[in-house]
Order: sequence, then structure tokens, then C-alpha cells
Amino acid sequence: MNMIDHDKEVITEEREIDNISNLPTEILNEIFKDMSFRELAKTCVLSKKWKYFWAMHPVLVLDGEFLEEISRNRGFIEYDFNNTIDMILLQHVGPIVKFVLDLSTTFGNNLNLDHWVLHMVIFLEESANYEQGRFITWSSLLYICSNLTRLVLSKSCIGLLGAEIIPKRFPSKSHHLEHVKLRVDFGDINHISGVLSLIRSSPTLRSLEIDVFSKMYERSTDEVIHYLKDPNCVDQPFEKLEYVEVTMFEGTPCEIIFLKLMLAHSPSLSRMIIGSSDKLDVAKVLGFHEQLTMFLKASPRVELIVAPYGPTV
Amino acid sequence: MASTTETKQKKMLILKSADNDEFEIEESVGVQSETIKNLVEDGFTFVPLPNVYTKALIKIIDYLKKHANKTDSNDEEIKTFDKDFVNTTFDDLFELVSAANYLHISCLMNMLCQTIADRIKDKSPEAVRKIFHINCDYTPEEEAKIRKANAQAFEGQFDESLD
Repeated sequence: MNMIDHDKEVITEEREIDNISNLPTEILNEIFKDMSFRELAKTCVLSKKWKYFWAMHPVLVLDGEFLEEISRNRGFIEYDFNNTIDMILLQHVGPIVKFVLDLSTTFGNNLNLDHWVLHMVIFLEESANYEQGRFITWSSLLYICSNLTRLVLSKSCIGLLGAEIIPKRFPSKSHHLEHVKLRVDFGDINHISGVLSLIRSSPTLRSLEIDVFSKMYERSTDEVIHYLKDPNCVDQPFEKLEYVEVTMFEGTPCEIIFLKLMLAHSPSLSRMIIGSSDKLDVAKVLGFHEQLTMFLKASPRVELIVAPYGPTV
Repeated sequence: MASTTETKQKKMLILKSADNDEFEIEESVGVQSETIKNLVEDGFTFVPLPNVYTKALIKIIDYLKKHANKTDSNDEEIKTFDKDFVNTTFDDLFELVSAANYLHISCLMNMLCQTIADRIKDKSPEAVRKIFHINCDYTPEEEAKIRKANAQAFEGQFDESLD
């Protein structure tokens, strides 16, 4: 018996039976909120009370460490990966407020992304008019976002999304989405128009993090440039946007024009941090810094940092 | 003239713990707790805290005093204080986290939850049970079945220590 204090004997006795289970679920959820899925799943074996704790926990962090472990232990087969995620989502009950899926350890294009996202929609139980069975599109991605406050898609999930004609604004707005982290291919019109529509449709967006996805081969970016240079491309301020971070910045015209738009239309912007890719030398980095400093800024005070390639930003 | 500065006393509050001990603190220190703040806004100067025991309350008042005097220059000092603050037993941490939750002190809440999370990460289920005083009510067969069904969570090395 493990007494904390003599004069607390009465309360201690009760609590000793199952100390943490007597903590309210809100505290337990706080403690486990950023834990890897492996840590969370481990709790099911603690006791019967804990069996379904993970399944009702509102945050699922399927991080690289966890997914790598699975693939290492089983040998990597795409089917297994899909199956694992399917199983986890199938068993989960209740709302999910944060879902992190790190796809950096997988390679195939046959991911069931649509499937998982549908699961989430079902979990979130918000929409009656959502057509089931439709493949995932930007609009349905945004639809999910209407319930999320933070969206992180590592690797180029966007490229896996089904193509569609992207509207300027999605039919539904997200009034909760505050943080977006995406990998973006600046040469791909589908990516760029999708990202911009996502931003336009998220009036509460505060932070935007973009990891530039570099294609190995040269191709024409005229379509993207034409799209971004259209005076009507952005016709509204991004009122709440305070923070923009770009990593693996390459300084292509598409990236520059995109950042110019961000600077010109974000009246609350306080920091823009740009981490360069290893392709840029210091002289080029300084040049881009100068170029970005000259652009018109909607916010009276923006701290603009363009850092050379390296771990420190 | 001298008396005017003296009469300009700081507003004080009395907090009463679950063990009936009373503590007098400055209002500006107390209102970092949302729970206390709401009571103060309703005009209370005497705040009974039936869910917070003396031992935890003393530590929490220390924390609030330290954080009320936060300036740009004592950042390091506060970091050291916070580090010492969470360097305690799991039982103390659970006691404190319940109190912080009841008092709605979000920065303290975050710090305690993060500390607990960091310290139970990588622990074996056996160690976690001991730390949380969980009585395992599975039969060995049931437990084996659950471990098998969730195999990916139980592969690899675990930390068996209880600190």
C-alpha cells in the first residue's frame, strides 16, 4: 500500500485501487494527446476499464515511428499498411479531433486515403448529405476540415486526391481549421489551386506550413503562373493568418508569386519563415530575401526570415 | 501622505484547502486560475477548494507566485523552477494534475500532462500498471488474447523502471 500522506487516508484508499482511472477522462485525454499510437494502443492491456480507452481517445497519431515499426516487423507490403490503418479506424469509436498519418514510410499510390477519410467523416457524424462511396476530392477534404482544427498531411497526399474541377471556394467553409501543414508541388496546378481554395475557405486559419515537393524532371509551369498572376486569384484578405512557414524552398517563380500573394493578403501576418533547400547557395538565399522584402505587405509588421539550408530555422 | 501609500494595499484572497488549511494570497496571483478568477469576479474573497488538498495547494500557490512575477529577464529562473516543480513522484503529479484541472490553470495543466506523458512513454504495461496503481482484472488467457490482437503495440523493447 502506498500512502501519500497520513491525513489523506480516506481519499487515498479509494484512489489506490485505480489511481489514474479515477482521473477524469478529460485529464487522461490531455496526458495521451500527443502520444504515438503505439503508446496509446498499449493501454488496452492494462485492465478491463482501459480496454477501450484508446478507441475513444479523440487524437490518433499514426506517426512515422509507429508505421515504420509495423513495416519492419511484418515486412513491407502495401496491403498490410492499408489493412492496418483500416483496422485502427474501424475499431475507433467516437469523434476524432486530430488525426495524424505519416506517409513518409510508404511509397505506393494504392493507399486507401479516400477510405480513411470516409471513415473520419463517418466518425465525425456531421453531414447528412455527404455522398458515400465518392472518391476523395478537395471538397471532401475540406469537408473533413470543417471539423478539424489542425490538418497535417505529410508526403504528397494531395497528389493522391482525385482530380476534380476545383472551385474558387469550396461549398462548405471550415470554421475551425487553424493549422494546416501540407507538402505542395508548386508546379502542379491541381495542388496550387487546391491549396489556395483551402486557404480561401478557411477563415480561421492561423498557421500555414508548406513543405515544397520537388519534382525530379523539368516541366512547364505556365499554367500555374497564369493562375497565380490572375488579378482575381485572391480577392479577399486572409484575415487570421499569422504564421507562414515554407521548408525546402527552391525559389521557383511559382513559389515566389505564391508568397507574394500571401504577403499582400494577410493583414495579421507576423512571421514568415522560409527554409531553403540544399539547391540554393547563400548568395541566392540573400537575393530571395531582398526580393521578398520589397513586396507589398498587408500587415504592418512582418518578420521575414529566409534561412539557408540547414537544420536551424 | 505616508498613509495613502499604506492604504493602497494589495487585494488579498483566502484559499481554503480540503484539509481546512487557509492560505492568504494576492488576488493578482490567484486569478491565474480560471476557477478563482470567476469567483473573484463574482465578488468572493474567500475561496474554499474542497477538491484540493493542502500539500498540493502549497505547491500550486508557489507555482502561481512564481509565474505571476514573470518578466523578460527571469525566463531562465522560471524554467528552472518548473523543472524542479515536476521533478517529483507520480503520485504527487497525479494529485497536482487533478488540482490544476479543477483550478483551470492551463499552463500548469499542460506542463504536468506533458511530464506524465514523457515519463510513461516506452514503459512496459506492467510498469504502467504499478505507476498508476491499476489492478489488472484480466485472466492470463484474456491478457494474452488482447496482446495478440494488438501485436504491433507490444513488439520491441520496453522500459520496466518505475521512475
